[in-house]
Amino acid sequence: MLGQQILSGLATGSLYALTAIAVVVVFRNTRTINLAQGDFAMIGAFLGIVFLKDWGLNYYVTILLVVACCIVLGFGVERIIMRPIANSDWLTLFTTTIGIYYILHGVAGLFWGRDTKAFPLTFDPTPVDILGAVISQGHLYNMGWALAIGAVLYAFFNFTKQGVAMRALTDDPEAAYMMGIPVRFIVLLTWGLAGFIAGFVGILIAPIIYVSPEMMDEVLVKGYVAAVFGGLYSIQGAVIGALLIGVAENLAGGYIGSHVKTATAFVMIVVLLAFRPQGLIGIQKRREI
Amino acid sequence: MKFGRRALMSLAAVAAIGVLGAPAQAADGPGISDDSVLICSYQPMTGKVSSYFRMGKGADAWFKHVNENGGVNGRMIDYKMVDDKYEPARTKNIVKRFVERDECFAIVAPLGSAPTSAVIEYIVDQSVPLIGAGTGAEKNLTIASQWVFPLYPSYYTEGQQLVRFAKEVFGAAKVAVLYQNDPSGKTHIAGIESVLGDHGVEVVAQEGYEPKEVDVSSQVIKMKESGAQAVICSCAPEPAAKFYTERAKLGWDVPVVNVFFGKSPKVPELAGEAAVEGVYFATIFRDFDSPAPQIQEAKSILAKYYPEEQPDAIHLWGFAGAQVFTEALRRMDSGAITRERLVETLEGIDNWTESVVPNVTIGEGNAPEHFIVKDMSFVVYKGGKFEEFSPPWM
Repeated sequence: MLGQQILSGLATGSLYALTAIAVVVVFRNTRTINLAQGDFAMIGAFLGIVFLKDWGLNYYVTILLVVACCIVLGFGVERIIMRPIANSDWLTLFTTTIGIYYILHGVAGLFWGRDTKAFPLTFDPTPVDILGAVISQGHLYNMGWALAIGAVLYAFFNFTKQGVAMRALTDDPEAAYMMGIPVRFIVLLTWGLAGFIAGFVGILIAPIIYVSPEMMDEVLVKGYVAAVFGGLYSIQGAVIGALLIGVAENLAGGYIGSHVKTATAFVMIVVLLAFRPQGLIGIQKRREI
Repeated sequence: MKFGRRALMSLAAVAAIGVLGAPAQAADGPGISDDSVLICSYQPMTGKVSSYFRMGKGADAWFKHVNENGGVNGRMIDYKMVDDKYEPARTKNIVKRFVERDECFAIVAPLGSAPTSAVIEYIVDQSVPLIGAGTGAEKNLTIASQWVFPLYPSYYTEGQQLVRFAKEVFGAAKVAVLYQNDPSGKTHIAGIESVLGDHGVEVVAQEGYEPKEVDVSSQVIKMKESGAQAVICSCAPEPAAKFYTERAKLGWDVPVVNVFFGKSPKVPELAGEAAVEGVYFATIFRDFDSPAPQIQEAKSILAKYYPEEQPDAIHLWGFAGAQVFTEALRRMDSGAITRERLVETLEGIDNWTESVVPNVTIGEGNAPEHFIVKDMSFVVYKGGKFEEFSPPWM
């Protein structure tokens, strides 16, 4: 039972990780906690249904189209909504994303209805056996994607010019501007990146948690907790935090009781922040100076 | 001065007419006008359990049909539905507005155990008829009030019947229970526990889930490890689909009976037909496949007003409450339309067979005499559809 609980927890944690990564990317470059991140993915999932079911497109073409649409959505949100208030305080930015969250909820409900829908492509139901514990192929894909996206973004931020520029922007926006880094373009790129990740997340998560305007609400909350757990600036921290939360929830649910399962993530974050306010990977420490 | 005296006399005359006329004006209850009746309903139009909004759509389709055919005794039915997202705090505000601002005549076919639990005392205190609420929580069904007309038997009774089903159909001595962590699930648990000794059944795992929970894997793993010979699933359609997916993933071939509020074509649609094959569901209505004219009429009405809907039992919940209310209103064809008279008229419905419920007989007093549906039956999901199933005692 222990092995199965851990593996199933890792599977659920991978869902949180995919969202946590996007939360971190947006926050570190724009100081914005993007509460609409989950809804970018939700829109992607609905578009996936349209492309696969209504238009009869191929799965891989669908992924490309959904990711492209979500990138455009990210660009649109930055250009139309976030850029005019870019210099506002964090609370204004945060509150604005709540507004975007409700707008996207409303748009999805208007176009596709409120009912929960099945995603037309489901993974092969035959589970995969790993050392006596089983995992669904869908979850295995998600774990793989979470690790792959995390690795690609890690490489992007550490080894590419644009990535380093983004990091410079995070560390000191004014100095970055003085050094000739195109701040507006980098911010636009960040929101596009958030859309890029959301596109993948929407398509990958939809067959597992089904599609509805509210499909990402719980995942976003846990993804956000995972991002804070990891230190809010660290992609690796967010992934580790998400996987730890997924496993801890399952172990608490399995060995203490199902009634404590959903509270586990919040207990973990309270305890961690009490002893390590900078989160698991302490990049935020520089703020203490 | 003369003018003032005349004016005073005129005012007095107007006041006298007003006073004399008052009984005639005040004869009808709140929400009643010469050409309409305002009734209200809270529904999970959005949110995690929005699939239950089918109930509201069923009731709304019926009232639209009634209005298109001239209304009831010359009055159109104004059916006001408001979204509470299945959040009791919202329901409280909504119902307060229904009663105090909108002056709804009655609350008809609303949905939800937790939302109804949050407002039922207030509704009763305000003497507002609550007709056909979609709830099986014990509190909502046993409240000693003439104003409450529950739709179906309590989850407590259903829990008792499901233990019997597990014993007599599956031959199980050890059962596991998956339940929603709210009044509906807890009422099922209470009912289950009340008859374990009678049937020689032991609960070896009892796992709860939150309606918004992303997955139920830890619960299902634990249930499988418990050695249960059967599962009673007190699950709504979406969590039920997650349970059946997880059960299939673990290769756990255990017989399952699901409570009636989880019987929906959404379950095989979301989980895949193979994962739900052979699962038994409790039910309280005839299926939409039934040739009964009442069911076929409901089906065509739903198709007309909500063409995008895939008809299922939850639509019928709405039809049932709405049809019973309409029938009572029809019988009040002369005299004042008051809430007290509505209750008396409902209590006079005896062996009425023209609704989606095979036979409606409402007694006097309160629950259980006030139940609109009194009997529970079963179906099994086989080969892509729900088939009627009769357990040994039926």
